[in-house]
Amino acid sequence: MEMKELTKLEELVMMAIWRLQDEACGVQIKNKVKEIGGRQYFYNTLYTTFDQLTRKGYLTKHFGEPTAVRGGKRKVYFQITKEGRGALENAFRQHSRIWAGINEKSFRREYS
Amino acid sequence: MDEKRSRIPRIPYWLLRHYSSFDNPEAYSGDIEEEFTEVQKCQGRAKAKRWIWFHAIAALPLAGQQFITWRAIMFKNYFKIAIRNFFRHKGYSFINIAGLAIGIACCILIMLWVQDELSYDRFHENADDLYVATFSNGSKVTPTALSPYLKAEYPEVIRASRYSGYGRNLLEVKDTVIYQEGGVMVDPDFLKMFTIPLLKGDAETALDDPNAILLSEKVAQKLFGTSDPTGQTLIFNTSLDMKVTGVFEDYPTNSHMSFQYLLPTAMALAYNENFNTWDVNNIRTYVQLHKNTPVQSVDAKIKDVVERHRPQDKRAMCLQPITRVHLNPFYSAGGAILYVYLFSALALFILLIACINFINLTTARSSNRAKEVGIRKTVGACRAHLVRQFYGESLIMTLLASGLAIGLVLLFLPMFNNLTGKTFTWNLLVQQMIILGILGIIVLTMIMAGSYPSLHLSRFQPVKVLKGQQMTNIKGALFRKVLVVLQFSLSVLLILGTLMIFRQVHYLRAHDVGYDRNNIVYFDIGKRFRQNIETIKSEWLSHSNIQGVTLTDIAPYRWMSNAGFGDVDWEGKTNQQVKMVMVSVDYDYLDTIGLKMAQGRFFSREYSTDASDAYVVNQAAVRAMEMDDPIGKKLKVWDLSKRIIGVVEDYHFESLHNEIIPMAMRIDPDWHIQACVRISPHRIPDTLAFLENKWKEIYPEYPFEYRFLDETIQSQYRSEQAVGKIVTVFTFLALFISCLGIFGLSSFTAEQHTKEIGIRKILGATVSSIIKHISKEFVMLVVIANIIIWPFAYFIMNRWLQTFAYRIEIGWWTFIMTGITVLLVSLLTVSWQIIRAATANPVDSLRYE
Repeated sequence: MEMKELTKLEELVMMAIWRLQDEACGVQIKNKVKEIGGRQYFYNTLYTTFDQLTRKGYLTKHFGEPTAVRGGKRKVYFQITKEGRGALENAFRQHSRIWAGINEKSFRREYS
Repeated sequence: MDEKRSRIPRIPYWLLRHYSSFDNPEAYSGDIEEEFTEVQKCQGRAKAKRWIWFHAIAALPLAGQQFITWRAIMFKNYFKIAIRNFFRHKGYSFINIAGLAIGIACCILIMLWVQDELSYDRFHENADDLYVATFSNGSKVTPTALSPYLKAEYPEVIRASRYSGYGRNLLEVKDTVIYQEGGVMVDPDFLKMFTIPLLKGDAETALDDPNAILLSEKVAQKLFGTSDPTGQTLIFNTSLDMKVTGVFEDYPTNSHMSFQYLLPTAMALAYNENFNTWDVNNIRTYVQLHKNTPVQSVDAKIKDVVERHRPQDKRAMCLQPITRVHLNPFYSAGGAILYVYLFSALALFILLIACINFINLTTARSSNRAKEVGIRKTVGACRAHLVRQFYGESLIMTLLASGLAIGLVLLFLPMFNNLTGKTFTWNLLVQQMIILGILGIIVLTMIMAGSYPSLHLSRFQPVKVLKGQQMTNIKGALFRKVLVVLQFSLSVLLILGTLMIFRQVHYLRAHDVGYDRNNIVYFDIGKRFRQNIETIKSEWLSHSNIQGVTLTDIAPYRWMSNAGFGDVDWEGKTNQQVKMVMVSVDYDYLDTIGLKMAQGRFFSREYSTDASDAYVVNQAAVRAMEMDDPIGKKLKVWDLSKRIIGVVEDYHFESLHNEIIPMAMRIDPDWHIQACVRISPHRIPDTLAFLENKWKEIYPEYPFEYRFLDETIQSQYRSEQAVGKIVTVFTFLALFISCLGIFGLSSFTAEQHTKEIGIRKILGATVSSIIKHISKEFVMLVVIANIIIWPFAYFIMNRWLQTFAYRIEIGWWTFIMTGITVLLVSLLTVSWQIIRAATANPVDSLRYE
């Protein structure tokens, strides 16, 4: 499964959804992404990513109940599929390999 | 916080939603609303608003990218397919483009013409405040006293001027003597009312002096060459010294007025103290109202202005805007506006015919595109995409055609100028109005030509067309037939109209006018020539080819505009209202012109009283006065009371648009300003040279300029002739485009029926029976088209002919002839393709590979 490499943003969104578990919907995902990614993304960007991930089969969605605060619009909850978990695992492995043996001190040593 | 104030701002919200195309639009907008509410609650409405605007703007680039790239990719594809189709079917594409190009070119030309017609008199700065006094019957010939009266009595009228045609006069300076047309007598206000830029002189004072004259640039050039004419003196009609007080720019041709030099009304006042009168209508009256004065309010006040001074004249007076005079000269239907409508309709018809070609050829060949549509739909195109694609194709075709059309227009502009007698140049095309017009035509064409094909083609169901199911397209075929019928109906209508115009014009030219108008030469004689005219006359008459010479105040054509109407009184008058035209003639008038007496006798030198106490009237006058025995009765026209000595048979002294009106002739040599000479038809150039030589013997310094009466009379029907020519050309084009269309359709039919024809031939059908079989359909269509349009054409032509007092009958044979001609032309067009198909070897058409 070589083509399952995730972009940084996809990885970030997937991780956010994974961590949120059952509460992974629009606003929550956005906040989580901000929390773990360190910066704010626009909804446009996020939804484009949702679309891409859904088409790749990494995410599934189901609808929630409409609420007044959303102007009577339903929420969409995302869940990570089996393939999605596989992709994340791949990413984790890759990261581990890339960063193996490195810690924060390594950087300081380089430049001092 | 109340409901309304906490609502999400509409514009950025709409923006955000509109240009996002996600799989979950509902959740997306829901999220936006949720966060907006959250931000609003925590940080206040202002912050929330800023937040949503920021998002909306930040999302733009991404949205733009999504929106544009896909469209661009698809557009490229559509374009490629369109071009491929274009080149794959070169014949059809050519028919489409050529038809559309000709149609659009006609539209552009006619638009130029219409725009020119509508621009008449608009160039005056005060155009909206200028009016011409008009009687309720459309006559613009008003009393001379009207203009000063209106200006003095009505505060709304700020300026007023009389306008009186003074015609052709002899202008004389040191070395140059010319006859010059276009003299007009006006009041000083005239120069301030109308926009007539003076190159020399002062508009305030130029016409104050009774002996002033203002020349156009052209006339000044003729008379004075390059030297400054202001302050110079010229001799007017051999008797008056006039001082040139100014030179004006040549007056534009797109005006209902036309003049080459201006004379002050004061000139006429100086020589005729009775000039200012309510009794005679002989002059036009122009007024300028205060800005924004509603003309109806003035109309109401001046309604009875003439009646007040001349109780017998009951016609109401009103003001007609000068911008309408050219289009509606008689204030009712008729005039140039009729031709504006006619030509606009013509342009639209031709464009429609060209568009029908496009529609028919596109839908007829729709099966060729059906697979493409099927595949596009299968891979996800929705109907809107396909509609857009086919509209785009018709736009591409239209654009190509318009490019070609503009080329055609430039190429044929000189010919068109020749036809219409106008002077259009190519830089007219870059006028804002015209460019907008051309864009309008393009859009109109695209919509007319593209609508049906795009709706038709996009309707195909992919399952059916991809399975190769035969398109049983009965509805489409019927629709095509209806369109072909419409096309040919329009063509037949145009042909019938053209024939009618030609027959009517021919009729007018050949109509018996009551005298022999051929071989009459006429020319002007000024006051100064009058003293020697008898000498010249007798010298001329010595020539064997000169059959008669007579003097009159006006040669027998278009008297209406020159002679005034008089009120009439007579012995035994009860209460009839009669207007009469009065002419002054000479003793030899009857023989020279060739009139016939109905009763009594003509003027004769043998009766000394004829010079002072005799009228000869026409039959129309006798009828109008209801006289049983007119001879010897007293008749009073204006203030001249004389005895009737004879009645002349009716003859046409005006154009045949008008009926013969009552007329009285008298003898009054003081009024004679024209001479008519009847010459024999043999050796005309010699005779003319003789006339001129004798003239030159006595007046070597004055030019001898003559005109033929029949030519002048022909020119009265010039507008009908010009319209006839234009309509002919466009009719021919319309028929040509229609034929292009059925040519395309017939070749398509032949193509489709190849197999059928092959089988028929194998089973024993002859070539002729096959030709008959296939062309039957087209013949039927043309016949139906004829029958549908005939009543309609009859109605329209009847309306047009009503504008003539003397007119042709609409003969049924015109219809039959037209029908047969169109049928033959269309048969000829389709037969080529059909014969080719019918004579083909069935082996080729039935071979299966």
